[in-house]
Amino acid sequence: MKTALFIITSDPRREGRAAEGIRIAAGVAAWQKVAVRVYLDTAAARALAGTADALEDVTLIRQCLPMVGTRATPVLVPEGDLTGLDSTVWETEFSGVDPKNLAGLAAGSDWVMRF
Amino acid sequence: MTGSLALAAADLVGLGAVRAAVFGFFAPVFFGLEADSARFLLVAFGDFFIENNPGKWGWVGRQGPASRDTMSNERAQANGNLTRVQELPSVAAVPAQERSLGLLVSSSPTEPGFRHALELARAALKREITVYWYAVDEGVRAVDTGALRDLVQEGIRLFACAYGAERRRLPHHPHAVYAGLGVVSDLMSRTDRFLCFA
Repeated sequence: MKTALFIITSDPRREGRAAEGIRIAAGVAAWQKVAVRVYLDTAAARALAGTADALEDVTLIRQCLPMVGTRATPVLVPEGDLTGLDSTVWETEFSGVDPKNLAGLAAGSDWVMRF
Repeated sequence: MTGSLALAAADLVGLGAVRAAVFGFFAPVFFGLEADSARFLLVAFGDFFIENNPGKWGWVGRQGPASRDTMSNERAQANGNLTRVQELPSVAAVPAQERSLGLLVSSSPTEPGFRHALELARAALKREITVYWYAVDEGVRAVDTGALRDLVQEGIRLFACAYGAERRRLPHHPHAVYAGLGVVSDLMSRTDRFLCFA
């Protein structure tokens, strides 16, 4: 099975692109033809740690994030941004990763997409 | 879900096709009753599936491929927005030996990403590579541009996100196939190269 890494670099407090990237990741993962991982970069991770109402398309994020952040394949965030992210609020498993390892993650994926 | 059931019930008692928008790749959905077989049909329009079965439509519902079913072209056209299957490109029809490129384009027509994707698609076509273009997010605004119409004439297979178009209240254009993320999943798993222009 091919693997896809979705890197969310946009800030969901400012634009809906982050939510769209998460929606696409969830929609692709649902078909189980591609193994999907999601990495929330600092801006997105910190936004999710803040006030949810301030996020663009928060309903979409609430609906789709749990589909790509399971115990087996948690949503990846920079190690330093893991604190403040509440798994129960988002119904999503998060895991910290050293940003230096992002290149390795990307190299190990068939397709890499940035939103 | 209660709302969906109510809409389904409304259709079952003969009030006609009812359309309801919900979020994401499950939507928009609409319901109908197949008159000849009295079968209740749930069509997840955002995720319909196209297969090489002349005279029939195929789709997958929200439960995924296991719920695949078909409906007649006549019935599909009566519901509007759907095109006869033989007029549409199909991801499943790609010969294994054919070189293929999938493009996921979320850039609007004014953004550099869109122009880069255009040039890449043109270069690929010159090399006789089959190009699948899936327009999503702001990229659905590009479906009606002359550049993409020209590329369709030259042979790219153009798909557009049905949800994105519906959300932006954009009309459907017959040179594009409006589909859901199941098609993106197919493209990712079947094409030789898959690139994203955001």
